Amino acid sequence: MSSTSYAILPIADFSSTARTALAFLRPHRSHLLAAIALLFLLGLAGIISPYALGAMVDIVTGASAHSRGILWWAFAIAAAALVVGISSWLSAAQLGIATNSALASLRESVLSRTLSLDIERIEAAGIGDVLSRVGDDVRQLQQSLEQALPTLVQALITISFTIVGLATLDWRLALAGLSVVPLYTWSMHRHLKVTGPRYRAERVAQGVRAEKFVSSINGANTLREFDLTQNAVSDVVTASEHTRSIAVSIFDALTRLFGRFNFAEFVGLSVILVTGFLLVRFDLATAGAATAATLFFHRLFNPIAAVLLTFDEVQSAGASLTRLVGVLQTSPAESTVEHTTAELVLELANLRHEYRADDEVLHGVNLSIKRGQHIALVGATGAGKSTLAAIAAGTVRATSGTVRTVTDRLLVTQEVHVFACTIKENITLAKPNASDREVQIALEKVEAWPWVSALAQGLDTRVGHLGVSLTSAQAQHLALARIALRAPQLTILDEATAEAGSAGARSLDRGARQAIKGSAALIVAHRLSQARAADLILVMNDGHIVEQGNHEELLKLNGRYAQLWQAWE
Amino acid sequence: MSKYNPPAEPQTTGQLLRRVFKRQGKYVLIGFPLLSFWQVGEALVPITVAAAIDNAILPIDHAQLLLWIGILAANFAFLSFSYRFGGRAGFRAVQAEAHELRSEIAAKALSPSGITEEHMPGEILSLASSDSEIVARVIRQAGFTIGTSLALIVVSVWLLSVDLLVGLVVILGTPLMVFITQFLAPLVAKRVDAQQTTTAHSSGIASDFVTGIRPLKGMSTEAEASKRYREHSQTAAKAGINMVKAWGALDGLGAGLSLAFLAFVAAVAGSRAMSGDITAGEFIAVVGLSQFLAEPIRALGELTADFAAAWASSSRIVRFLNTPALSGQGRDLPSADTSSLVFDRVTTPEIRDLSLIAGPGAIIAIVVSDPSTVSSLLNVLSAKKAPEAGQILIGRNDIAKLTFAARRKHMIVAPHRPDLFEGSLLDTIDPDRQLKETELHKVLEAAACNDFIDSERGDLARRVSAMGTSFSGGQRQRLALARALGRDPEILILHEPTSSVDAVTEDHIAQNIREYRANRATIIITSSPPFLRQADEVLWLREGAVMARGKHSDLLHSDDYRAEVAR
Repeated sequence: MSSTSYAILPIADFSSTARTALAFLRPHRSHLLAAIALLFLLGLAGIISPYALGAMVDIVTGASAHSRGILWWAFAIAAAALVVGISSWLSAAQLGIATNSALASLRESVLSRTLSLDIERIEAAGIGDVLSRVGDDVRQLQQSLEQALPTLVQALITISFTIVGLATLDWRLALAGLSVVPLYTWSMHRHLKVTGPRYRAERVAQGVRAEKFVSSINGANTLREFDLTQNAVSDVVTASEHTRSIAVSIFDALTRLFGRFNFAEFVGLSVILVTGFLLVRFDLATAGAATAATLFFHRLFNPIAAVLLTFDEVQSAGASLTRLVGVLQTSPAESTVEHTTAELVLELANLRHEYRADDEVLHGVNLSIKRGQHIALVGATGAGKSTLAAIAAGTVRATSGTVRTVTDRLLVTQEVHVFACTIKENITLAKPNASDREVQIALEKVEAWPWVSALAQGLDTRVGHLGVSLTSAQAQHLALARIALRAPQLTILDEATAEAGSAGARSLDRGARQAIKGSAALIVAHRLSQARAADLILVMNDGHIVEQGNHEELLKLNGRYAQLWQAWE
Repeated sequence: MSKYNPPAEPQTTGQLLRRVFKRQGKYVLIGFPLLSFWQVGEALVPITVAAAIDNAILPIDHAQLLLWIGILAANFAFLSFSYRFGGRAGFRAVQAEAHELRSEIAAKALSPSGITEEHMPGEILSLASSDSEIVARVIRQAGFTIGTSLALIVVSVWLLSVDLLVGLVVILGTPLMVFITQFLAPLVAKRVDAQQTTTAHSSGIASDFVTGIRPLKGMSTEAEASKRYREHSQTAAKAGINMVKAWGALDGLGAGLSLAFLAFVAAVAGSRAMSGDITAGEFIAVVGLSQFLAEPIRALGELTADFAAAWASSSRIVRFLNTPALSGQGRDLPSADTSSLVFDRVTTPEIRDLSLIAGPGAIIAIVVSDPSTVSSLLNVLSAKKAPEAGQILIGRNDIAKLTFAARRKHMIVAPHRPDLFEGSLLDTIDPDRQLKETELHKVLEAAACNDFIDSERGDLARRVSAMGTSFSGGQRQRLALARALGRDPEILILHEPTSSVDAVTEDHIAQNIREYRANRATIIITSSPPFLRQADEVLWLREGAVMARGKHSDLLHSDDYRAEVAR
């Protein structure tokens, strides 16, 4: 069913990404402004200590023009300590409030937009693309905001204020300190060129590792039975080994980068020492100033490394952000469905559909369902039954033709999904405010209550990918219970009881019948017992409706239906 | 592909952590001394700079300036290369350990003899990804602690040699600073944990909703899904803000304390310098060192929280690795004839006194009314559980006494759920490449895969995605059936093999199986008439007891049976 062209969701450009990011931050601007003010204070308080220590050196060496004593300067540092502690704490908190809140609304908007997209749009993009945006990209961004951003901001503040501190000390010493900027730039440039592709390879390898792992664990029973566990373990070990070797190669590059940083640190310190020496020699500065300059420079080591090392993180956070903003640039699906008259709940006229150009799967189908009427669609695989059902349900948009239907309709297909929440929450998705009692009644109606009530936590049992794993028959039971709970005007069942053939799951068939009792239904079924009970049976073949009538009429016709029925019985 | 043999599993958390160092001994022996040298070298930087100011700048001595810059260069070379090789050894140790733990976890999760407890896939994945890495990082923490402590000792010795009072202030003050920051560590750890849990949860919810977008759209309940996600996302955001506040407090406390400490040391050392007890150069070195100490103090302060995390992860891994294997495993290899399956008065809480014989060429169908009986049947057949009474025999061999491998060689219990794995269609149907081309063709035909696989046209090279999501439910079932038939075991157990396949195709498959398994024993748990019609004998179990047995056509005379299998 998937289209051959692969069109991932848009990726936003820089300016719209920045605009959107600002728009999400705007409601939290008071916290941002507070954070900026506090960071400013932090930077300012941070340069007091090297300056004060320089002054103390001058006092000790007797070169001082300072009128204050050792203890006065020590108190100045202590006061700075108080300011640094408090402003560092509060700035982190304020920044955290702003970024966490903005990120939360961004990810909520992204999910909500994703869910509003056309199924076909999502399929064209590939579910992997969509999942990686709401999952990995959000996580990546979160991680960067948590770890890299505060480090980066604090480090940048420290660096800028230290340079200012150096400059107020002596402009020549400041220049000496800045002489290493090209060295840092050069090392970083070389590093990024090497590691960029390796980081990307690492992400891919980690994804492969996780996927191999999860699919093997999910299919562990099958792997054991077919004696394939050794292969599966080897696969996981190989994938893990691959991520290990990439990680090691990235780290080796990092240690080379650190080596160059060390070189830059040495050069910087030496240039400052020589400059300090010359300034003292020609009486242009004191030894205290030279000391302060080395102290200033020494305290830059960690922040500079921090800035350069978060570079990568910031880059990938930026990439994630463009992908998230890209989702917001899509347009939500619009309904092309018109509403019906009071008499009919569904009216399809001259419906045509093609998934790929020139490959029509429905050739002008007409169909209408009255209130309370049950219509069954039968036919061989590939006849177009599921497409027709999906169009009626609104999850697929017909290429041409008219669709008139009610808004209150519900589709249940064979591919049921058990959501990762409690049983009750799974069912109330169809009717959010339903009470426990209503949910229980719905489950009783579809004959699922016995097994649900037998679970240790009953309705509150967690199911889905992190909870109790349900059999496919049980999953279909839940889907039917949703119908019973919502009691929509029109229900569309697409092989919704495919598991009813399995032992003891016969109750599914009865459950389905109970669930749709009293409301109109379109039933796609290869289980002909379901079709038999319908008011009208439509037999489809190759995109056409070829026979219609009730069970007896169609048997008498001795056509395609009769043939299917014979195979069935 | 080489076979992976996991080592014996450690019994306790402490044992696992000790094994980390034993296993990575080679790297640890190289890495730890080098990392210590690096830390000592870093501590020597402010001392060297101070000496340069003292010996060269204050007296204005050109020769001394050159000498001290040379010493500085030597020290930088020393610390830089120590880190380069020490860091590499340490990182390799962490990566190698994480990799080995992951491999052990994978081997345990997929061990041929199974594990008794059901673990959620997400839980095992997080053991293999985050927990194993957190455990492996104890190497880094240990290396860092040792290196930093050694550097602190060197610094202390030097300080004591300069001045007893100043030395004591630093030696006693540094641990005190680390100690004070510890008060906040548990709070931070708790909030980090809360933040990680809520974030992972909300991210899981988002992925789950996107995965289930079809049913969501089918219910037109996207708005409700968004609303639920918003609640989780807001909880995560609150936890995130709480965590940031705690981190900020810890960071602020660390930064403020180390600066206050610097002020105190500077005041003491300054006074000593004024009174002439230490030189100006020594004063510069002392304050330079105190500024340098801020970073180790901060890092040591975070170690307790890191170690607590490593301990927790380690105990989770130990618990998992020690999950008992399934009890059914025996030790014997089968003897003599292995071509028939015999149930000899098998009784479990869900099955009463079941006897049957499936010889070569026979198809036995079992119609079961209760799901619990089906699970019990499958459990005793795959030797996951032993019957309370009676035996299941392959030929004359009790399967409870056979090894899992031996049992699977002769009898395969194909699961109902068609689990497919990433690879080509050929990998899926014939993972061991046992089948010749003609055999492959026959298998595809028997499982009615021909309508979507054209082997002539090279379709067998087509990719199958993990879980086979690119195929419909019916196609997946037929692929899984082809895999089971292709294995051609002497005894094959199928469980509703075609529940998602349309009636006409199902009928073909049932006939094909009759032909394909002409000389083999086949047992099918099903209530699907096409299979029942093909069966030599149908057994109908209700509440665990045999209600009726015989040919399908004969059993149809019973109203109850008809009601059971009528569709």
